[in-house]
Amino acid sequence: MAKPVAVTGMGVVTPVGSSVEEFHRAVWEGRSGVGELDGEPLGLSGPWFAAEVRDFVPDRWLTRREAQRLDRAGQMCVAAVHQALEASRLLPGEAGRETGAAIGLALGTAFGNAHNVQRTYFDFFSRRSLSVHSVPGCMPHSAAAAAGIRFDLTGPSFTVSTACSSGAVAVGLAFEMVRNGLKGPIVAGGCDATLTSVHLENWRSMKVLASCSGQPGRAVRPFSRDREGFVLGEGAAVVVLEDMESAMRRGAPILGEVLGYACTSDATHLTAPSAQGQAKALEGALASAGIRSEDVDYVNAHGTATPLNDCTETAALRQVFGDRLPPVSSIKAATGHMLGASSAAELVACVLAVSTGVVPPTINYTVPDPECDVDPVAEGCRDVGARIAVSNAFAFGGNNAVLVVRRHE
Amino acid sequence: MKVSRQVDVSAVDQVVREVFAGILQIDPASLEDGTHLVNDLAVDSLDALELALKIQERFGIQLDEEEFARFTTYGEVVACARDNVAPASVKP
Repeated sequence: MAKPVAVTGMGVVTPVGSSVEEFHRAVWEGRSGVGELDGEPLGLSGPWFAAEVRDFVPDRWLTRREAQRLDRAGQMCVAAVHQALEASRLLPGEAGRETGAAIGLALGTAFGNAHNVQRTYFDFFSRRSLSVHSVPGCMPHSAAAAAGIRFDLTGPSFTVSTACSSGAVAVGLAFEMVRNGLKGPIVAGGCDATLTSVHLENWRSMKVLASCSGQPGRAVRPFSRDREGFVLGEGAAVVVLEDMESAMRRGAPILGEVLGYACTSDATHLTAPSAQGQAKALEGALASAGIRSEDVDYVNAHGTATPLNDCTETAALRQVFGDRLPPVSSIKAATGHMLGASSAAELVACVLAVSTGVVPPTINYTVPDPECDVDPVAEGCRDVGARIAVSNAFAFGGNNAVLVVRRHE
Repeated sequence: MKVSRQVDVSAVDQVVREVFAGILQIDPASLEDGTHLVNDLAVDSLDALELALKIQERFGIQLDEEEFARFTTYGEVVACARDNVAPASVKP
């Protein structure tokens, strides 16, 4: 029998805050984490905008030796997992750990260890000596493994990669495991840290980044007709999921409930999105949650602010919700595109939205676009009494992942 | 083959100390001859290999890595480096 799935902890490292409280305040107040990036240390020329996690201090979360070997993405992952386990009262040594089963970890990442990989290739091609730690430092599962070692997570552990929906897919798979009877909690989310010269130039060559002129904080404009694309971000976000009954028995804080999940593939094009595939994922998630479209109070959009993505997503939403489309906002204007971490951070935003009823705004929306006829919550955060939220995550490769969360009452 | 020539022991110690500090991310001043590689520094087999490779690179010498893996203290590593290094080969 399907078991209700509780969210009992959350942790984030984002360009707008490295705690859930900071992230909540910044996103709801409409602050942007996008700034100017000094490209010179990276060997880049010209102006760059990026959403960096400027206040991230690895030494706060890791020993210096661990930090030296673990990629920046993994460092952020460990920090987010620490916060989530602490919130859930599941850090090693806590009473909740003694009674429960082994804890699992489901992680998503689009690019894995971008910094370590770039450094290793640089060392190889410049004929410098390679580190004996390069293999574990570059393998995509190293972030999850490092967090597992640090927090004694001896349950199932895996890393999925579905490009920009990776975090949502990891949470979705973890949700299905708990719903189908997994013993013990599972930490789930995503991480990516790709502000490297190679990644930045790769994205720029695709012409999907917002131009680096004007104010950085205004660069990303989802659903606005003057949108130009996204800004690359970095970060990590995770939630702790567990069987509702077990969570209540151990007196864990219940922050919300994951109600449904679905994932589809367009199978049409490597980069162009398909409204059809996205709509199927939305319909599948609503069916998985056992709700109708009119039960949804808020949609957190994938909302990358590229010209094509936002109108395709709007078409998919209209196909499923018709004239009864609830408020739709994209927080990527604030956080930048954290790739595999984005959809996990957006799930955290959805849990915050349904727990308070107040939904976050889409900042920088100024010019309505008839092809993006959504209510983008442009005026600032809004109290709509939200109880049920949908989180969209779409990706290059045509992967579409949708999660549904509900307020715990 | 061990080379017994006049070597500046403190210069060798200085370089080995730097290598340990860099790879293990520790305070170089905390190292003593009796510091235990596993019990005090949590050196694992990969760390030992990296230490050996870096010491070889810094001194331009060849060490027996199997012998190196048997060392248990910091002092033994310094002694091995000292015995293998020629006076002029200490790189900054």
